[in-house]
Amino acid sequence: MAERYDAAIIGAGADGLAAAALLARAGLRVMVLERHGEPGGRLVTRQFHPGYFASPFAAAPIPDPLFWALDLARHGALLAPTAPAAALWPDRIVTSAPTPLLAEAERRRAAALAHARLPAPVPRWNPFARRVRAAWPAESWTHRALVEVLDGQEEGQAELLAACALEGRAADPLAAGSALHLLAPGGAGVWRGGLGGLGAALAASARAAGAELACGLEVSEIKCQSGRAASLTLADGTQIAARAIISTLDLKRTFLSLFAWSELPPPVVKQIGNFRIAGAGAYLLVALGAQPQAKNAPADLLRRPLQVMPDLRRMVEAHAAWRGGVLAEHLPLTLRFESSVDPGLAPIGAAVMTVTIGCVPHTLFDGVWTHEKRDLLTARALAAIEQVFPGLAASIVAVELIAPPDIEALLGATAGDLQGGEIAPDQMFAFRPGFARPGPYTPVEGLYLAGPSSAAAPLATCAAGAIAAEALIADLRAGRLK
Amino acid sequence: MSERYDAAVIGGGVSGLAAVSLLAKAGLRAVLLEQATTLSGPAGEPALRALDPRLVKELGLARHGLKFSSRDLALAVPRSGGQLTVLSRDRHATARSLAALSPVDVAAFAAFQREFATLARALRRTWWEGAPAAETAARLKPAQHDLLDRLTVTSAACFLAARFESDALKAALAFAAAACGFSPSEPGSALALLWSAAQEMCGLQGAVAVPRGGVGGLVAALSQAAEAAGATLRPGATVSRLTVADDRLAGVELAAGEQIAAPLILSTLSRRRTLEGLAPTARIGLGAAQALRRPSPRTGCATLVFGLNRLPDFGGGLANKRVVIAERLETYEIAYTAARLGQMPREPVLELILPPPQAAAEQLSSRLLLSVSVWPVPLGDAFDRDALARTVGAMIERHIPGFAAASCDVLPPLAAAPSVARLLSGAAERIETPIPGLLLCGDAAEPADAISGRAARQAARLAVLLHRKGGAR
Repeated sequence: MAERYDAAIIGAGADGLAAAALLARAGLRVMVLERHGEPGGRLVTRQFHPGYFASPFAAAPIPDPLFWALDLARHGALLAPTAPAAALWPDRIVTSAPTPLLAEAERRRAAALAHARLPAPVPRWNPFARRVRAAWPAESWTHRALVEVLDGQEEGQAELLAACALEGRAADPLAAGSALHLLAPGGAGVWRGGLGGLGAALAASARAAGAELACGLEVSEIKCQSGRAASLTLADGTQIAARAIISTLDLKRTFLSLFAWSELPPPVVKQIGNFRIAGAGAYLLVALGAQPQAKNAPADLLRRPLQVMPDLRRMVEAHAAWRGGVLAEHLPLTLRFESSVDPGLAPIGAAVMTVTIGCVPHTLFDGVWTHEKRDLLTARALAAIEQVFPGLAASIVAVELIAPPDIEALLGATAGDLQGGEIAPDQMFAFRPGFARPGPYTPVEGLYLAGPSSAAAPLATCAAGAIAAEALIADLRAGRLK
Repeated sequence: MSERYDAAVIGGGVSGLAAVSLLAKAGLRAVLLEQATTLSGPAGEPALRALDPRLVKELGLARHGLKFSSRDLALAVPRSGGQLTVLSRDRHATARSLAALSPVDVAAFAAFQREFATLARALRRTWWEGAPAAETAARLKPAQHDLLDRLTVTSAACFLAARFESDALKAALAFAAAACGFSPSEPGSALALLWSAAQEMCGLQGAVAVPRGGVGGLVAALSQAAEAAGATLRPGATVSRLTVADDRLAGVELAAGEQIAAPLILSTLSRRRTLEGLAPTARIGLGAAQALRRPSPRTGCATLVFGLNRLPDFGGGLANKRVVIAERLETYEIAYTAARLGQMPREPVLELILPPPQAAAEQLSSRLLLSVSVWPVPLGDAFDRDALARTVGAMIERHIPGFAAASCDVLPPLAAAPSVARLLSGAAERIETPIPGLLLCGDAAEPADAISGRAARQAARLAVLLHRKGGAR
């Protein structure tokens, strides 16, 4: 074997690049393996039509300390301010007002994120808990429904907040546990040059720190030696040996596709099999020849994420349809006009619209995703948008749909689920991903799990990678990795 | 001049009667104030799942006429093709029956029952005795503890889906969560499964028993016991508010204007109705008042009583069973989604209580009554009696051929307001209120929605203690 790395990282997405940068800075020999030709993962901006650039997958905010620790500003990441969200109906517009609820959710999210970093045994909030020390700061929301916490909001605000929390997802806002979605934020802000700008900055930061980035190499297997993860096998048969491995793939992809199942204890395989991952988001990239117009709109309307006619009853019905594998009549839609924040993303005078569609099943009840079904989904979304932006359809230059199976193919996310697992009380906080030892640790020694299925991932971008890197460094210094 | 008592109990259901009897038995002058003109239990509830055995013993309810027409109803699950899978106390028969459904589940079910029965018994310390949860948990083995931890956040549906293969079995077992008010897809409802496994009827863990005369029979026995103990029962007395004198709880005022003096008051109403409706706001405190502000429940359970002229052809095997009609776990989810939206579910979940042959024969002189609990139904204006009777009739017809009802009585739905927080709390948190001397003893003070009389027993014990302390002063 040629050389042995201190750490090999599977996947050059936000988590993988953040982990690589932090590990390399600590003086370790790090190798990042990426299946695609370009690093970035879901942080991509694509030219989907000549002159039009779109970033389909909105990313949660990066925690400030991490942003500065990774030196991203110097590597070209620049966040353009966006206005707060708005809800759009044919006859009225409701703009988001700062509410105590959102402030509380934000506080709890930040506190939970800080908590996720602690490698200590995990305390639980309930009195049955084995080690009652401190609670995960948000666990008291575990048994609450979204409508319950939104109770008392003004007319229109509750719908807007619910729509923002459930953007691109499928959840029943009347069901207990749905309040957790408020803690797992969706897209925040527009990066210069789109999300791809952020991806490039992260890659530059990792390279500058001395990490090796190998793109176009797909990992096909994690090999164990005497019970611990020892090396990676690439699709072309090459072996890469490493003292420790960080996987940024989701839980199922990591364990059920990279391991021989016989190498894992049967209860672990069963537990991973029971982890619920289901895609619900589809994305529509729309190139517009002209700026869209809405009636009585405030000047900054297009800078805001726009929720199209949010309605709680329709959200419940859409979720029920999604559970049954059916496309709902009224799908939850969120519009983003990135080109009105960064004009470089569209030709002069034109605009790019990214539509996030929620409650879109990965597996349809009545068969595979055919062209007809894609057309139906596109038509339904555009028809709803036409109601709030009359005349928009006439200016459409090009449309591209990214359905859940496409996300699975593009990003390797199981079932096209960008969340890497349903946001539910038994899959959050201490129960995410749910191994005996909480944090980035897995039942396989020397293998750390970052990526979307880890505890910190729903709370912030890059955080899961940073936490895995911290754990790895600590174990290495303590001599636990040979 | 007002009447003076040592303690007053508001509400005359099973809990109220149990509390007043125990208070009177301990030598307190106790009065029960019930709004209705007669004393009766919650209408129509046919079976008992959680009655406190010590209450039965202490009050000598058997002496006062409590008899059971069935001590242990077996759980039956209809399969396609008109056959039944029966889960009974006979392990071998259950295994044989389950094998036809799914061979894999035979072992899984046996393991599940063993594991749950042991853990559930350990938790009786909290759910029966009222010990703080943390104390109970500290005595568990690590593996049990991890399971318990997980149950508090997992939904019954996910928990069962992970353990079993057969849809019918999963759906039938999930009914235990629905029966204590939880939607099986609600997080934490798996803990309700455990709670229901911790209960005991007629000395059998996890049994469901039918008292002769339904819950009405239990209420009659309790009324007799209360009178024998010397308690004053006053039906037709509506309490309008609590009175305070010299900064202490003084008694209650009736709607008719009458004052009743009692330094201890036990309420069977919910925490919210007791504190918001009866107590002076200034006494509760702003924080506590805000904590009470929870949206009112949206769903509940309805009971239908079918009158039958003749025993339907149960295929010989249906008597002395409770039949749960729920095809799959998704059946619950779809029905609860509809009910939460204020629609009548098209396919609700049913539990048919089928009496044993001798009880059926006793009844046949007049007309055979078959009660069916229906989960879930929307509350308020959306509740449609006729539609429900039609839906349920048609569903039963499909599973029990030849089912022909001569009459159908739809009883008013009962709201379900389950809370995982209550399942996780000790008795003190459930029973005590911010007002000294005011205790809760009804369903709202139980860990889960069920007729048990346990909160009443604990509240009565606490009241007696407070009374003796007050007397010594």
